[in-house]
Amino acid sequence: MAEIKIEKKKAIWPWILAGLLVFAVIIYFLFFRSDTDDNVADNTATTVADSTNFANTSENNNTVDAFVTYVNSDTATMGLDHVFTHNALIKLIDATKETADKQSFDVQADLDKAKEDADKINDDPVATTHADYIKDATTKLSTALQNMQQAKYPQLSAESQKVKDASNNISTADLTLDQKHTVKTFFNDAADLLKKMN
Amino acid sequence: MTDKKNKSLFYLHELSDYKVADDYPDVRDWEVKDADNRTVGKVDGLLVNKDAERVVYLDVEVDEDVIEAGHDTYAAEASDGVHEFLNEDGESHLIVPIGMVNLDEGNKIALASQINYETFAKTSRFSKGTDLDRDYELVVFSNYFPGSTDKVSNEDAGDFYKRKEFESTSGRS
Repeated sequence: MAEIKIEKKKAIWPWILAGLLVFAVIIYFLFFRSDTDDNVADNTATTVADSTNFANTSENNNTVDAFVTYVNSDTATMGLDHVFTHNALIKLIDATKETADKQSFDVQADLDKAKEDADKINDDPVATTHADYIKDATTKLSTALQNMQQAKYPQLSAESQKVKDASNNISTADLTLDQKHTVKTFFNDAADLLKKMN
Repeated sequence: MTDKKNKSLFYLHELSDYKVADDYPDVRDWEVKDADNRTVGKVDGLLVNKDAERVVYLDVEVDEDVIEAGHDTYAAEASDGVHEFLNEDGESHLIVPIGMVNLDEGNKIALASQINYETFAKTSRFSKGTDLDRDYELVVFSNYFPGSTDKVSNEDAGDFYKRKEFESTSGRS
């Protein structure tokens, strides 16, 4: 004796919908999430033009944010070339200037010198001297930052000392290529200090 | 005559929102054999009671031999009286109550162990896809179980399909 039962079919469309959603999410992550390397290249192209304008009267924290973002976006650790260093220095100079202006603190001499060094990195194709310019620039910048910190932000002495130490760690005897991490540390510490100042 | 269409009887393929339940075999296209293990045809459709959510008849398309044997049978009985349903050309389907078959899942055979070849040959047939009514069911019943139709003719669908001819005595529930 046999028995055969029947049952209602289960609706399939919810599964199709779910499948499409998953597919859409995958497509989104594959194609629409920007590659961080692309971001750095874009910034390199666009920031050289406007980074030399010292009279920049941007909104609060724009230059600081620009510098911090630039430094943080370089996940490949200082991109392998002097372009990154130049751009980072210029952004740091701009951010320092704006912070100083807000506090009516004069650091112009140091910033001018740092800018000269930054430009030389770009102009001088010989890589072996880059370390000298970088060192000089970071020294000027860390001095400016520390002076400003001592005058206006007494609570940030530890942070400014870190920036100074990072600058001191950069060696003129070694190629920049060999101390990418050290230079990156300087930029990271400077970004940290500037964020706290603003 | 009372009954019109038996509204609770449907071909499974007409019910787009129903299917054979999981764990139960879909026996369409299986071979159908008689009490002597002789092939009489194949399962072409499943007739279901929607309320009870189960198959109540197998819709069997019989082989040419069975049709031929049926012609001979009717020729011999022509003088006995009126048969309400005479098989015409193109009428090659008949129904078998589900409780009268055993299913051999390994060989995909539906074995009608209580129905012999002659009975199959004599059973009134219909053409594929015909909507079936209670009158036809009763005629078929009288073929398989002579003398039983008096008791069933007044039952409604719910009680009708509770008869043992539609029940399984296997372990399934």
